[in-house]
Amino acid sequence: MPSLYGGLLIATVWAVPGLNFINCVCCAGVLLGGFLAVLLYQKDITPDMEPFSRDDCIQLGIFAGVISAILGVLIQYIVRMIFGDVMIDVMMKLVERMNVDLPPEYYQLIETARQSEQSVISFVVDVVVLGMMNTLFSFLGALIAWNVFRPKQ
Amino acid sequence: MKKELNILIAMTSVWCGLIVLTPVIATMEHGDGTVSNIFYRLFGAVCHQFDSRSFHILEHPFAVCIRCTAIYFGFFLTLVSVRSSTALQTKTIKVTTLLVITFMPIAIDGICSLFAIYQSTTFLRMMTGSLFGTGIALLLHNSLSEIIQSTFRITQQHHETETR
Repeated sequence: MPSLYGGLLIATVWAVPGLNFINCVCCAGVLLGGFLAVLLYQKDITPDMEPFSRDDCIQLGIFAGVISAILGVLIQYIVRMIFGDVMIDVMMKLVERMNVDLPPEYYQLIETARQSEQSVISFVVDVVVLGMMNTLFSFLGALIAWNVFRPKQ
Repeated sequence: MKKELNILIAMTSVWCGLIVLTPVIATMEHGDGTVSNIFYRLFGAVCHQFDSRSFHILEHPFAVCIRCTAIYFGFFLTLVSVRSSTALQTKTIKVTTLLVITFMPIAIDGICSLFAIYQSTTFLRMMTGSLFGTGIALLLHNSLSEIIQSTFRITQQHHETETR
């Protein structure tokens, strides 16, 4: 469950317009997801249970990363299939309203995203690429949490 | 832990090397760009790769932006410093203080720049990025070395079981 919540956080930060700006700071959203998974896990540990270990944290981080990749890409594809480019439109409106300073390449990126075609192959490639990177950063986030919450010896 | 640190440094140097080599490969591929596109796509999962906010070699951008480049190279150089200094290897650092000192500048710089409170510069991106990379390396080098050590131990035990 903690990995699921961590994965959900990562997928939400990635997919929701506005929130995904958090990932501009070294994938902070992904690091946070791994961190959250460990935070939730260690909160459920009672004194009569075995203390959580570094290996537990690693597993939590990796699972959160994998879950986030599948969920994130799935949400994005489903929303685009049903609603069209609504996420992109919302993002553009948000950018205008928030007076966000973005370089011109950002708008090129948006146009490329609008024109990109969805297929099974692109879905698999996106899941694999995002899965690898999200797993790595979520794992690092979980390790950071281990160093913060490790049982004092 | 020195062997494990060496492996960690080697892995990080490959990562940093790819960041710098990708534009070189792109130049050598003039037109096709299959290999360089794969690397750009891979690193694109962790970075916006905006051309105007990236270093360039031979008119092609690095695989990640200036800030990310500084983070990864800061991480790498800190690992090298830790490897060369026994004092740094054994030093205990307060985790939350380290996180605050290294994460706050990059967060503030990123947010202020995003909302046009001020325009961040190459120098600021490099400083905040390398500070963050340094902090993460100081925090995680022991844990990562232990993971490499246990991975090798498991592999060795598995190999010994099989040869019996």
